[in-house]
Amino acid sequence: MNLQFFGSSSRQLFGAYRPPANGLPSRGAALLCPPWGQEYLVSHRIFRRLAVRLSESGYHVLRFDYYGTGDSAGEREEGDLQSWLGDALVALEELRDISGCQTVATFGIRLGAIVAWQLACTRSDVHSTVLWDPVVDGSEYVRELVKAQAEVDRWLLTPVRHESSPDRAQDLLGFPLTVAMRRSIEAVTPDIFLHRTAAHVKLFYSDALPGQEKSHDAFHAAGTPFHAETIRGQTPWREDESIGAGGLPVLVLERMVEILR
Amino acid sequence: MNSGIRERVVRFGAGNGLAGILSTSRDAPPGLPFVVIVNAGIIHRVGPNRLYVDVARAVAALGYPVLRFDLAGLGDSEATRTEASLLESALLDVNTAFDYLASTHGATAFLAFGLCSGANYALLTAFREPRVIGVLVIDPTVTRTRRSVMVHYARRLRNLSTLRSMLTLSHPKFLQRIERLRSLAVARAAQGQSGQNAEPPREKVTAEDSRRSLEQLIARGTQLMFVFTGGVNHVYNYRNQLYDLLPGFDFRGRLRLDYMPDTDHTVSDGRGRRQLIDSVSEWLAQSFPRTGATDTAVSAIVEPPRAVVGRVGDSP
Repeated sequence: MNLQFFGSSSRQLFGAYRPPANGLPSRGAALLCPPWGQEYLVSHRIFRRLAVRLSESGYHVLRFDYYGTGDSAGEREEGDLQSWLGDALVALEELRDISGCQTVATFGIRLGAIVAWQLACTRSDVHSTVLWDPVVDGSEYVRELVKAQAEVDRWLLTPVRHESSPDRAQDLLGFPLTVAMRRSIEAVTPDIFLHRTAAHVKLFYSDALPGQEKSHDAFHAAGTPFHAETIRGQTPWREDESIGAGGLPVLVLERMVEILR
Repeated sequence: MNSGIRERVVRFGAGNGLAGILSTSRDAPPGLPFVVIVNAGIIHRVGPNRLYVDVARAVAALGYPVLRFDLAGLGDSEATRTEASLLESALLDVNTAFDYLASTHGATAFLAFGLCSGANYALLTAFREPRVIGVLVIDPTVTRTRRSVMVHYARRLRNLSTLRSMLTLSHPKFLQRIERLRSLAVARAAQGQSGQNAEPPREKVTAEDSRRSLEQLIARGTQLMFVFTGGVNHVYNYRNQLYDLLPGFDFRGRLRLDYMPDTDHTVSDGRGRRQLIDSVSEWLAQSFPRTGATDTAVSAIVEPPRAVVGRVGDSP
């Protein structure tokens, strides 16, 4: 595994690249797009495991952090889904450059799935996109975060001084949700799937999601073939007791690797 | 990120299996102690809610080189096959980080930093490792005092949500405990079937052990900064509880104690985080001043600056 910074000097991004394991012949390249906030933290271990499994299947894999997240440069308050897409495009170019592959599969979890999908819509070199529990109802997603924070606050004996006003970042489950990020998330609706892509679309669900049916309707309306399956079990981003790193949903990971073959 | 900061990936340890990010300032004076940040729980090196990244960059901007890395088996570090316990393995990894910085960057003195379990590892490392000249810990494990127990239950009884949930047996902690007991019963049943002991016995650390180790640290001249947040107010809930836990203990003016009751365990709110970074910066500047590098830092330990020491106001 090669850990590296890439991108422009003013917008350094962090990435972890794995070539095909044990000198296996290349089967292609995969770009992993992480989610936001607490979901980013719990998905780190999952993505690392997915990268290992894909590498063992012959894939070149690049995990990366958007600007303002993880090890990349920037502050937590910087970034929204549009700028994340820009970062993902840089990461995609980086992966193509390192691997020598002409086409790429994109993977995304939660909000990262929206980025992975947008890559599939904007780039003809994305041949497959694998979306796990995509956030397709952005407003509902933000409402859930606010509700979850209120539940945390309810039990506090000495309330935390959250910064909360319409024109400033709002602390939600440990991360500041800025106005720009909030607006970009709230703009996400199932209609994003009305955009047609030539990439193979694979959807994985841990449970029924808000907007799931409407998403499928949008795929049908756009004439985009897709494969969807639900694998119930561990949903790391819905754990009752947060320890900042969820369990490993092995079944889902194995199925993702299998379906890409 | 501060434009004067340079960050690079470093690999070290057996087979270069340990991975981390080293943050340095472009115009840092030579000889300042290196800060080494230890994982909190199983969260990778960015820290809970990216706390470690924020702290590392702020501290590096002051000139102190900072390494935040993943212990073996966490984040991007490889797991190692070892007979050592989890604790011993972690302490060994921290020492390996020191050795790496010493051999590649000429580091001779270190500050150990961590939150929660990372705080415990930082302290335990300092107890054993004379190269550690400062320890900065957030919410290390401490025990309750009679007063903290009373404060806790008094607050609980004033909390409407608690009262309601006690009557309906729906308090989240109660439900979590039930779930834990259920999981434990399942694990024990499996253990009985396999004949294997799932969890090795833990080493017990007594209050007397801790006191003795702290005495040795202080005698060695180590500077300490302890921070307690509102996130652990079920255990630590008034400013000077640490002094009550160690009656008559003489810190010789080498302790800075910060109590932040209105921030959470991971200092996730913006205001709390800025306050923490300001306090850490102040402690560093006073305990390990930039001018004169390590020699001065060591002499500062012998004659600690009085401004940062002493017992702070006692208000819960």
